[in-house]
Amino acid sequence: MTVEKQDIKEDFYQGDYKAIEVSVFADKQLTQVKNLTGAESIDWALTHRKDGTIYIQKSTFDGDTSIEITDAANGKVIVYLRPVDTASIYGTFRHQMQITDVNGKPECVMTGTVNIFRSYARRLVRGPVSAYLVGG
Amino acid sequence: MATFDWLVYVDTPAWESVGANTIVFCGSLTDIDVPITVGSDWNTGTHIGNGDPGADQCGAAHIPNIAYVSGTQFSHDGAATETLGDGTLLATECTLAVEFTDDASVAITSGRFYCFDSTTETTEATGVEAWAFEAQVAETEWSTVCDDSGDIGGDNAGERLDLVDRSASQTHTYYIAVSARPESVGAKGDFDFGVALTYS
Repeated sequence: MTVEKQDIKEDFYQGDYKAIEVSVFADKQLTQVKNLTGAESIDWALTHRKDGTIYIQKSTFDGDTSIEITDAANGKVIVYLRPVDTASIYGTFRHQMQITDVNGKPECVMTGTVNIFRSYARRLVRGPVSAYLVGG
Repeated sequence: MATFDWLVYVDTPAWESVGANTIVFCGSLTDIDVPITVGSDWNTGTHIGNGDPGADQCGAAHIPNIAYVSGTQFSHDGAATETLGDGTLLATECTLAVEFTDDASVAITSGRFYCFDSTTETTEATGVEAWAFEAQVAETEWSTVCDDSGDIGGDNAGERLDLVDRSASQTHTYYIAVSARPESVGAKGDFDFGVALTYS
């Protein structure tokens, strides 16, 4: 069952680090949580509101630690947005979450919108390179 | 998306990405395996190796070697001493270049180049002494970026090379000369360089 209009209500800014906790429901009335025990994978995507361009994808199947089931029995999932995920995008987007259950059956369980505000503030970034020398 | 690329002027020669290789300071213009004599010598050669040091990846031309002589002087590839300046130390004679790019046109502030122990950005490299200089921005003096015995180095104010602010552009390139030497005998692998900056 796909539960529509599961909008991420907390607006935030591009380049922010965000831990977005969502509850996956088995019914449109939001009375019954979906048990995620044994799920093979959780997949989440952020797309353009109209043309479906994919900006962010996360999947537990890839070993991506930026999405995880935190309470399988109660259908709780956290999606971690790293600064690099949203540093170059802002506006209103759509998000989707798909679950592949313990029997290998995929299902889109939720869709909704998310607002990302443009950031005019300064952002700190770092980059390293390896060096070496030998004293003799 | 904002990205860094570390570049060296080698082979053809041309600017090429360091990638997963290592910048190696050694005691020879041509042989990556020669150690630097402890006590007085600064780097006599600079190369990129595919390990510590691994095999030389420079190709036909090695990284230009810039050695510290004094606070305002350097030697390029063992030649006579020169005074630091835009007319004497060219971009293509620098140890490395750092290229920062973003999808948007962004201004850069608070840029700095530092030397750390590969683990903690605010901790200096182990057993290393190093100086750095940003070329082609009207600078005239070396900046100390590592002195392990003096507890100097890492991304700390006064212990790093502060880079000149840049106005808005999608690409920013910093040309940096580095001179290094060991404080003791042995391999110095707890030794990385880093760049940090803010953009908007």
